[in-house]
Amino acid sequence: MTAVAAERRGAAGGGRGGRGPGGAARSRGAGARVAAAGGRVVRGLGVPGVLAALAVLWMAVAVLWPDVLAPGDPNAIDARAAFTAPEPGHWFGTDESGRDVYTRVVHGAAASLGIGAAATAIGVGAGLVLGFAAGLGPRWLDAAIGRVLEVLFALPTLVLALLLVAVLGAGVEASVLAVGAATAPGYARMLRARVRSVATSGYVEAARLEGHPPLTVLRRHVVPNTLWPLVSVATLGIGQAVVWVCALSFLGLGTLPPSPEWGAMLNAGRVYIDTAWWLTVFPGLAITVTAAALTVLGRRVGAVAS
Amino acid sequence: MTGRAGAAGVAGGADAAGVAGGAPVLDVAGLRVGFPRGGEVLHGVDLRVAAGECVAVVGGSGAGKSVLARTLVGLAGEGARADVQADRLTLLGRDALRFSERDWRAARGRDVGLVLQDALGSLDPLRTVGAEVGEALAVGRPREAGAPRVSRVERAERVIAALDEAGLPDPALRARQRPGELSGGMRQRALIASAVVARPPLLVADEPTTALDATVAARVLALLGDLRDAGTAVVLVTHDLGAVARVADRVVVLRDGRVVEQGPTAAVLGAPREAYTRELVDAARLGDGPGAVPEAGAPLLEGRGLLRAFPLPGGGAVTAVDGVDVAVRAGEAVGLVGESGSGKTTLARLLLAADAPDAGEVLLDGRPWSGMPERDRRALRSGVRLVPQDPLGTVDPRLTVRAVLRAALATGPRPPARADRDPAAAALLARVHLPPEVLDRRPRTLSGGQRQRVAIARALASGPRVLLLDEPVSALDVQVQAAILDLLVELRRDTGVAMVLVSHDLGVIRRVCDRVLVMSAGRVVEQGPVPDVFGAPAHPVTRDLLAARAV
Amino acid sequence: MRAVAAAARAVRRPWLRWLLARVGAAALVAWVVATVVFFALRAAGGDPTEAILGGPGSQAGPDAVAAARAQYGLDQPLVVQYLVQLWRVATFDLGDSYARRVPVSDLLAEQLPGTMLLAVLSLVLAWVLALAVATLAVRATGPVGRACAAALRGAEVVAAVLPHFWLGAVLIVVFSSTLGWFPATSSGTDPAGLVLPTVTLAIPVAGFLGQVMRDSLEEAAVAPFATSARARGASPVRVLWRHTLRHGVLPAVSLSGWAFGSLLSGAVVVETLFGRPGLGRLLLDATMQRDVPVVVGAVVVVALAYVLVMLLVDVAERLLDPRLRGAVEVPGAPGGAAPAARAGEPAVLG
Repeated sequence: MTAVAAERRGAAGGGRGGRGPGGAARSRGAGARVAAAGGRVVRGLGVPGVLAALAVLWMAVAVLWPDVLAPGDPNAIDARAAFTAPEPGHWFGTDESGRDVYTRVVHGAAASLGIGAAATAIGVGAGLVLGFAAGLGPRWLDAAIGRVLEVLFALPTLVLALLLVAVLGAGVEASVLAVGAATAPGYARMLRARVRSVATSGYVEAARLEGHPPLTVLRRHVVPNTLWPLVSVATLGIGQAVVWVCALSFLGLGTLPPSPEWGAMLNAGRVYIDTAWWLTVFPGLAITVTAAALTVLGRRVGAVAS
Repeated sequence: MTGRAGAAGVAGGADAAGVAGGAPVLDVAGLRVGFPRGGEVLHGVDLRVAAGECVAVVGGSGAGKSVLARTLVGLAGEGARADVQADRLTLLGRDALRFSERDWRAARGRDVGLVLQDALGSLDPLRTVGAEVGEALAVGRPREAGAPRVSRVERAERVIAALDEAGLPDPALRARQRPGELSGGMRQRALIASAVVARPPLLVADEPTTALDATVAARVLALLGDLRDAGTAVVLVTHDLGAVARVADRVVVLRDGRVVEQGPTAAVLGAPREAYTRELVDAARLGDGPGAVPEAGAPLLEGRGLLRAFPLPGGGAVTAVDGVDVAVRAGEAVGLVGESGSGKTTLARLLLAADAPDAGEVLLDGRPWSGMPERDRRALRSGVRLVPQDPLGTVDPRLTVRAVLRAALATGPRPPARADRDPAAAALLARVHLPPEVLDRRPRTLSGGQRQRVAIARALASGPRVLLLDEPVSALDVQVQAAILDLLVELRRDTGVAMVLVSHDLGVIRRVCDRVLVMSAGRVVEQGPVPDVFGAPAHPVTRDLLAARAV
Repeated sequence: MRAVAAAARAVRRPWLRWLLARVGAAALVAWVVATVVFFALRAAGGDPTEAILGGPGSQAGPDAVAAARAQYGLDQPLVVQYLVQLWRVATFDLGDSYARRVPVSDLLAEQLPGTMLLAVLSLVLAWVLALAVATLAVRATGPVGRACAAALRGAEVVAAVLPHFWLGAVLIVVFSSTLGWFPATSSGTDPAGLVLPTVTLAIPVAGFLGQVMRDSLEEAAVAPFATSARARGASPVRVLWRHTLRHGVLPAVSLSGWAFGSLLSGAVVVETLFGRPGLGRLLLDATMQRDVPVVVGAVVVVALAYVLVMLLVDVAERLLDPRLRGAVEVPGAPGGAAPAARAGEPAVLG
């Protein structure tokens, strides 16, 4: 049968192609397999993705081992060197107390990124609970949660965060909670839509019609397909959360000076913007690069995974 | 028929162009088209079309038909730079190889019209049908310099006239509507109207009948035939040999960018010289009957008085299945045939217990099936399996074929032990003639035919007694269709599984099924053994369906 | 003619119902916000008399406290205070500010126009920028053009994540401190003073809208209807303006509501940075001072403004995309019946 023969040729050809690099790797061992997978990842990320990943890596080092990148003391005061413009030795200049801005930026990474990550964790956690409850639960629960989300969405994020800070009081913990709670509705809505779309998809119905019990279907199909896209969204989200948290500090409602947290540095430096621009520009640059890198990385990861 | 008489108005295009009666409207010799990334796609194609003649260009997918169609309107390079070379490319006596982009723009719509498939995407959904149809007149430049341009009032009149000639009822209303408000057949005809409103002497149609019901497609082809009779030269690019037989005077067979055979339709389709052509013709004809099959046994799956209605968003309801009785016996193959909207898919879902009937019941082995609570029914689902219409959408995108088959194997009445599941999966693949290497692939990376075979293997994993197949081959190439249907017949012979096959294509039913139920508007209008119903149809719906499917 | 009039009547009613539903939703939002804010602030804020009498830490005598309580109705039970507050919000009487002793509605009326002006100007500027970049990039051909288009895309992505406080600071440093073209602080409608704040707010939104518009324009440019239009002899310019642009702009219109909300958020930062009075500053100060009536009033106003803009965006969407208007059943049209039947028939069987 020529038609079947044609198809077999296609299948064998495809199989051969699919087996090619994999088969070769198997014969060369696990190391080659990892290298092959790494190559695929790099190609998938593209140039911007790789740059973003490197930036994030740099930031991770700054968070975990700040002394590697900036061996000085972020709180070392040196009144004579106050308000020095950027120069070799003080790459980012010094502030009103003579502290080196570069060192402070590096050491502040832990505070800013940590707060951003914590806020995102709160937001994602709340979003997961609400999203799954609304997506999988009974109609009335979906409607109720939907109404609540609608109201929360009636307020722009920062306004909502301000409101929560007004309730909880200013400070680091409050700003974490405020940003977390302000971003939760976004995650909840996205997760609810995703859960719904997966739960009503063709492959979930096919699994049910195949006779698998509902919990198995949930475990094997619904949960993995819902959570995987969350990874890229959460990566993006950490970048956003860092910006919000720093915004609150900038407004004086979050971390206060003399902490080297980036937003607090911006708050302190704002007064001197005419005379010492480096006090605002460099911490802000760190925030922007963080947000941009995490956004690009999150998007690329999402594109590669799908 | 208004269509026929009206299309005469379109005539004269060829004469107005000043082309002598005998000279071809389109003369192509040695056409080579290549792309920077894809290499050469057409390797020296010859094509000649005279006024009042319809030439069909056929071939499997990848043959280069669409590229050829777009080259004839100078749009080969859409989205990518195309390299077009030829010994000769003459359009209405003018050398199109020398055309600048401006010349091509002037020629499009006025000298040559293009009709694409899927009018829902090919007509701008945000504009009115009238605006779309009239666009060629709005942008068109007259052939002779100094001739008057078409005024807005005249344009509106000609649009309505064109819609009328295309056979649309109430054309003035249609012109005000948007494409989404028309039915599929009306949309396609409106699309044709938009291509011929400026009366071009040449019309190129790229798969104009794909995704249309058989009766609707027949009407579209009739319109093309009318245009041809009235003097337009028509190039019909299609993979549907039935359409070719209906309306084409000559056939050009394309394979991998080369012409392998051409000649008058009757000669090429009736007595093909080349092996490739013979393959295409054989595949289109499909077989006659499943051949030797096991005796039908006791009733296995029965539906009694089934009723299912769906509420409409604007109020009211549509009854998809309206009081249907159906019985499937062990070992037999029953076909459910009808146009889209006839209720056949809904009926199949009711038999599968994927949906509950509003009235009536479904029995499995004489015991309640639709009435059983899902908890108890789950264990019995292994006996009734579905081969879905969309094999891609019904597989978790993260899974490999191996994972899919292993999950399916676990649901049988006696699932194999963990260690035996892999060999069992390979055995399933062998049963559907797929090599074991496919196990590690993802369905997304497989071809359409391979995906369908995997879907069949998945359904067979639990050893079912009855298979429900929903349009199993409608999305596949003609040659692949034949192979899959052969597989189904083979499975019937070897395993004795009963089948319920839902399709709008009578040829598919004829190849595989013993009995057929013809459905229309939710009711069964005729049923019986396939040779009887197809040989001597009693109901007008059946007769329409048969008439629409030529060959 | 009568059929046309009847059809017109049939269309108008669903519109009205939809409009009423949206207005009802807005009212619901206002109520919930007022309630939550009221109770939350009271629960967390301790004794409001402190705020009234000069902020936290003020040492006031018992007579002053009693007088203040009576004046502001704080000696009533909490439920009564809540109901009073609700009634006031409903009648737009938002009470008096604790800190400033003036009616809240006066404060809001004073500060609202400035912020709204800023937000609207920024949205317009963002649209202009996004549209310009998207249409230019779509028509780019040739290696140089494509490289520029790729660079623009990168710029859009970065622009979308720029924090307002940093962008504004950089603009101040460059255009105010160094070049001296525009002032660093401003107020009112002085055009020179509006430039930097507007640009600061507009750029991130422009980046975001630009990406969305670019994606949908590119998609529409290769859609089959664009091919059909070209096949009828339409020039690339005509295809862009009459076909793909409308498609490309649709998602950006839908997102403009969210964009407006983001602009309101940004206004808080931008007003602080540029020293401009406005709703954002008012809200910020009231938050710090625990000035409950002002916080409630400002938040409710923001919420209502946001909801109103979303409503306008919905209307705009429906105007631009007839597919959203819902099927109007015209009697006697065979085309109408067929889609209905197909809608009832599930296309995919599992």
